[in-house]
Amino acid sequence: MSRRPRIIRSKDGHVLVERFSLFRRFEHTVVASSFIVLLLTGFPQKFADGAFSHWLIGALGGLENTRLIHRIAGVTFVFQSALHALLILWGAVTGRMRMVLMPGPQDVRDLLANMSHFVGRRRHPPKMPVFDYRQKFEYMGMVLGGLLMVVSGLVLMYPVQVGQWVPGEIVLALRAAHSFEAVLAFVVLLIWHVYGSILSPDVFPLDTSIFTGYMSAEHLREHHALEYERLFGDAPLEAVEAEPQPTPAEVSSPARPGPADERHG
Amino acid sequence: MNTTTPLRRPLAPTLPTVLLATVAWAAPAAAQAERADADCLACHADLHGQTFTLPSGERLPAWVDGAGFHGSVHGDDIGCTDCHPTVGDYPHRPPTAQTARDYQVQAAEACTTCHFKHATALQDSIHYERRLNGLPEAPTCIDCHGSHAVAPAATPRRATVDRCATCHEDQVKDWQASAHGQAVLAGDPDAPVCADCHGAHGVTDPNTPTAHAASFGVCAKCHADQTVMGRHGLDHRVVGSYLKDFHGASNRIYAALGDAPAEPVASCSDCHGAHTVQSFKDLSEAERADRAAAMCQDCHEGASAGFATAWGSHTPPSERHRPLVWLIDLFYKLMIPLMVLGLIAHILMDLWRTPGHKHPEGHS
Repeated sequence: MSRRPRIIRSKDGHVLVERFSLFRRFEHTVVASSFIVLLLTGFPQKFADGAFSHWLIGALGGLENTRLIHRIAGVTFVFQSALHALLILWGAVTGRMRMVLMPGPQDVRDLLANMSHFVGRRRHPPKMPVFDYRQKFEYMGMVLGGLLMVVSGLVLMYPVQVGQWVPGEIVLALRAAHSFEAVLAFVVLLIWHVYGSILSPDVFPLDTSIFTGYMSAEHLREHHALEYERLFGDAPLEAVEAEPQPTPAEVSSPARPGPADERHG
Repeated sequence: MNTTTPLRRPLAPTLPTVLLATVAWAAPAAAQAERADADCLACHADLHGQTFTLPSGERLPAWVDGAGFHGSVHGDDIGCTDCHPTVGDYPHRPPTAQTARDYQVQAAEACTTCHFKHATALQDSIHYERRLNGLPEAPTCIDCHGSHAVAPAATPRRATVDRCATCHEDQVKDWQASAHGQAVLAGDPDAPVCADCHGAHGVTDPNTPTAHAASFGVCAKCHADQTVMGRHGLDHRVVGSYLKDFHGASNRIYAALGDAPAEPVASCSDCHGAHTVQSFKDLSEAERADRAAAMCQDCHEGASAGFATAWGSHTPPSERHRPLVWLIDLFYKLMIPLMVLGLIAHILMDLWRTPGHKHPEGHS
């Protein structure tokens, strides 16, 4: 992550800045799909009175099957989380990773500044870093909520063994937490993530960067100005150039002059 | 007087009743029935000690207690040939039954004509199934209700237990010593007799995995009823607390799907007993915990006393009972709505200040 992001030019002439590596996009796919499977197999157990719950559990082949699927998805999530944590640990130890999602005091200032903008006391929203406080909030929610779900989920998988080491009340409390945290995670995802990456006028109809891996320099300048300045200084959008790429994999521009040549030629 | 039918009780319009009604049109029916009964009883009321012999060699009494019959619920309504339609005039046709039990089962077929609903319920029952599958003594109508001297259905509830005890003696003895049995014997109208839990005509096999998973519903009929439990100083929330805990959360889903787990999940009777149920009211908290720990080990190998406290007991969490659970409940009950409100407020403000909505020039 510490390397400079790839900067390429799309077919229609937009300069695109790499936002998510292939590995990050893979992580998103694994987390999103395991999260959805966990919700679909967990909520019918939580809301055990609903006709839809009964239908879904029946369609999944009964309660035991539903629980098996839930545990497979849960273990997938555990391994993905462990890999994610190990890579961050490695990045922190070697200093080769920019901790762009780590919240700090500046994020609180950004939030307060944005609030002043919202209430009209400030003309412009603050300049945001590559991931703004809204995105860091969601990421940290995922990390902390995920940690709680992993710990409580493993306790629920092995209650007898855990009960030999800790009081049963802990098991009971973690069961309550597992159930409630799932609801919290679901509503945050439903409200915040769906707004931030689909419904917000900034990105509507869809922020495609998690699928293509790239974000336009224009969007970056508008919504993540600090990152734009880090990459391009105070250069205006028209002056921003793509780096020469041998074969831009994600957004291919087949046989034609290089973007810089095209623009100046 | 209604002369269109020989019976004063309402009848389902089956073919036999329609035929009877047609035949009876011409003459006052009760008089006809009485005359026919008088013809039969002219002999059978006097046949004390006489028997007739079946092909199996078994002998059945030929004597009929005319007074007992007339005193029964049927006495005024139906006549001998309504239930014995095949005997014909004298000399009677020999019965087709081979054995005494066959004769009783055949005789009970007559009940179906009028008591259709109960008869079909019986056909869905474990008693019927067992009788078809090699257990001829499994009961049919007359084994519980009698034949000539059928008593009214509103017999004292306590007496119905005696009918079950004919075959299920051990279970009835257990029940008599249980909290339920003691209460019934002391005249408590709320406490259950056999049929309250098992059903009467449609009694199903209580020992299947499916029945076990759904069995909390049997207890819930009374124990989730605030009025009934209030009369006995019992807590009606016990069923709700069970359904929220690990075991109940599973069994309620199995019950709703008509399904059962491969390994049974604990239900009420696994801890409290079924026929042997005893009150936990007088046990101390420590005694209850000890019993719970012992019960956990029945299914959960290696379960410690600490693990047993993962069973939240039937008391809902509070600041004194399981405070950690109570705190987590409280935290999320505040956190989730606050989070939703906060996020939605942020989104609404963001939309409000989106360039194009109010400040077209406003974006940086």
